[in-house]
Amino acid sequence: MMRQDINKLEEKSIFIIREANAKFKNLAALWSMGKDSTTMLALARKAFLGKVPFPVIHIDNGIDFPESYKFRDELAKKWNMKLIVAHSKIREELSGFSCCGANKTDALKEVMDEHGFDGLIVSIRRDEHGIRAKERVFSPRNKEFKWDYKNQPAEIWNNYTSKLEKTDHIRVHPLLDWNEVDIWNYIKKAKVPMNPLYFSKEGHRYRSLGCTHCTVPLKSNAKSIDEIIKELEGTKVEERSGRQQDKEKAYVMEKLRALGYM
Amino acid sequence: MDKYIVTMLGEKDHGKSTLIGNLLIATGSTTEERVKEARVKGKRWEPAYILDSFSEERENEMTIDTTRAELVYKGKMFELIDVPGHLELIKNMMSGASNGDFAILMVSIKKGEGFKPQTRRHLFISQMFGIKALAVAINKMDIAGYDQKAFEKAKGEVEEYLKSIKFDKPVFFVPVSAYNNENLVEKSANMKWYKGLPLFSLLMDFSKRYYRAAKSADEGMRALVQDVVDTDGSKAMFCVMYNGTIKVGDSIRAEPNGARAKVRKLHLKGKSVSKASAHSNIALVLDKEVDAERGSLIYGSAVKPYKKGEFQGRIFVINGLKTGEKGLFIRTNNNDIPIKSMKIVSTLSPTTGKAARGGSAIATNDSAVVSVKLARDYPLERYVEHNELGRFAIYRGEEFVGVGIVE
Repeated sequence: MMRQDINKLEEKSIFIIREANAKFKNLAALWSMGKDSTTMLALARKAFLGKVPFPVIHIDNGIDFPESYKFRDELAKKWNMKLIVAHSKIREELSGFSCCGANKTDALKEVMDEHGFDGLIVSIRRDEHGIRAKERVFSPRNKEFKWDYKNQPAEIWNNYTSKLEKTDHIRVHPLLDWNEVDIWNYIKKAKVPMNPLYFSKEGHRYRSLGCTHCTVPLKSNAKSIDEIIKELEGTKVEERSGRQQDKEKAYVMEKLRALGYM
Repeated sequence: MDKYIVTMLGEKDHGKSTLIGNLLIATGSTTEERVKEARVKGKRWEPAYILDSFSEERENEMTIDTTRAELVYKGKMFELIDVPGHLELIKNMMSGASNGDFAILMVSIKKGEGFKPQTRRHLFISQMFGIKALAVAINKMDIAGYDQKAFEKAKGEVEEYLKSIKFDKPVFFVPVSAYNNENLVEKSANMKWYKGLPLFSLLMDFSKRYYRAAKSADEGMRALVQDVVDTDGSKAMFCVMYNGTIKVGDSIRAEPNGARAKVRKLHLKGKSVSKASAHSNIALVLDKEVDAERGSLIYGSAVKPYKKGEFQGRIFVINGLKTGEKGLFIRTNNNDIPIKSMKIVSTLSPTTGKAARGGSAIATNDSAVVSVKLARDYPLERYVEHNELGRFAIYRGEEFVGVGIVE
C-alpha cells in the first residue's frame, strides 16, 4: 500500500463536503465511530471553520463495542456535534448478510424518513471493495434505498447529480479516493481522535470495525499509528477480511449495496 | 506522491479489463484474496474478473460501469480507469474519462474486431477532455501470429484517423497480447521486431515527460464562490481557488457586478492564514459586503474575466439536440445555467469525419462548434487557458446530453 498526496486528498474532500452542504436542504452524515467516518468529521470541521454543521447519525444495534460507545459520547461532546442515535433491532435468527441488510438498513430508513434528510454523507472508500470502486461521488438512492448501479448518472468532472425526481436521497462520498493507509496518515497528521479498538491489545487489533457479532480482530502488535502504517505498507491481506459479510458469498456486497447498506 | 490517472479506451471485447487485470498481477498491485475470488468455477481464467466485480459483469463478460484499479510500481502510482466499451454505456465512459491524465487505447487486431467507430468516438472525446499523451496498444498479437505487417497496418489506420481529427498529443504504438502478458511489463520474446518500450514502461515514461499541471495563461487570481455563510456576525465566502494567489489585504473584485473590496481574513483548512494559492478551498472574509453568491467569480483587480453570458464552444452530444428546443442547460462547476439560445457554426461526425456548416440540429454522437447565449451571466474562461472554468456538461432536465469546452 502506497501513500497518496494527503494535501490533495484533503482539499478534494473539503470541496465535496462543502458542495454537499451547499446543495442539500437537509444534510446528515453517518458515523460508525470507525476510522473513516471519524476522519470525515475531522475534515468537515476543517471545511466549516471548526464546526460540524450537519447532524451525525449512529445506527446503533446495541451490540457495538463498549469502547465505541464511550468514544462516541466523548467525541460528540468535545466537538459539539448533533448526534442522532437510531436504534436497530437485532433479530437473533439473522446473521451476516441478512443481519446487516435488514437490521441496519431498516433503522436507517426510519431515521431518514423521520428527519426528511435529502443528502447523506457516507465515508466509503474505493479501495475497500471491488463494488465500491464503481461508486459516484454523488450517488442517488430510490425510495427503497436501492442503488441502481446499472444506470448511474453521468458525473463529468465535478458536475454531480444532487436531485432526481425518483430519488429518495443522495449518498455523498467524500472519501472515495482515499486508501486505508492515507486515512492513517491523515489521522496522524491532523491528530484525529481515534477509537482505541484499532490499536493492539494482547497481540490483537481491529482493522475494520463492524459490530461485536460479525467482526474479528487480527493478530497484530501495532500499538501506535506509526506501527499501523508500517503494518499496512507491508500487507497483502484485504482490509475487510475480518468482516464476515464479505466472505459469505461472492456477491454479498453487491446485494447489500443494492439494498441500501452503507 | 502524485497519482497519474490513465483512462482505458476502446471497443468492448478488445481486452481492456484483461489488460488491467494482468497489469495488476504483474506489478503485484492486487491482493491474493482478490485474485482468488475472481476465479469463476468451471470457466477459463479471466484476469478481467478482478475488475468486473458486479456479478452481471462477470456472467456476461462485459464492464457495465467505470471501475478503477490502482497500480503501484517502482515508486509510481497509477490509477487505471476501465470504462465500458458499449455504445449505450458512453455516458459511463465519459464519467470515467473526464479526469484522465493519459489514455491507453486498445485496438484488437483479431479479424472482425479492428478499429471501430466506438473507438474513434473515444479518441475524439479524450482529445476534448485534454489528455496529455496516448499509448495505443494493438492487442491480440498472439492471434495474428505476432506479425509485424499486421501491426503496421493497424497502426496506420489509427494514425490516419488521429490526423483527421488534428490530434495534437504525443502518441506511441505497442503490439501486445494482454491475455498472454506480452509487452505489458516485460518485452515479448515473440515480437523482437518491436524496438519500443513495453506498455507499462511507456506509462512510466509519460509520467516523467508529459505530466504537468495545466499551465495558466496568466497568474491572475480567480476563485469561484461555492457557498456564502454567516460566521460570527460576518459573511464568509467558501471559494475554490482556481488560479493565482490571494493574500490578506489584497484588492479584489467580485461578480456579479464587479464590486471592489479588500480581503480582511482568509481561512484554509480551518486555520487563519495570510496567503493561499491555486487549487485550495478557502474561506474568505471581505472588508465590505458584496453581492457575490454561489457561482460568482472573485478575481484579482488586474484580471479581465473572459466571458459571462455568451460564448463559442465545441460540444459532443450523446443525445441529439435541436437548437430551438427549450429546457437545455449547462452544468459547470456543479452550477446549472439555462441556455437561452444556441446557433450551430459547424458540425463534425467523429466517426466518419463528415463536416457541415450551419444547421439546426446535432445528431446523437456528433460534435459541433456552437455559439451559445445563456439565460444569465456566468463567468467562463477559455478551456485551454483555465481548464476548470471553461468546461461544462449539457443537460435536458435530468437527461445528460453531452459535454463541451469554451473556445
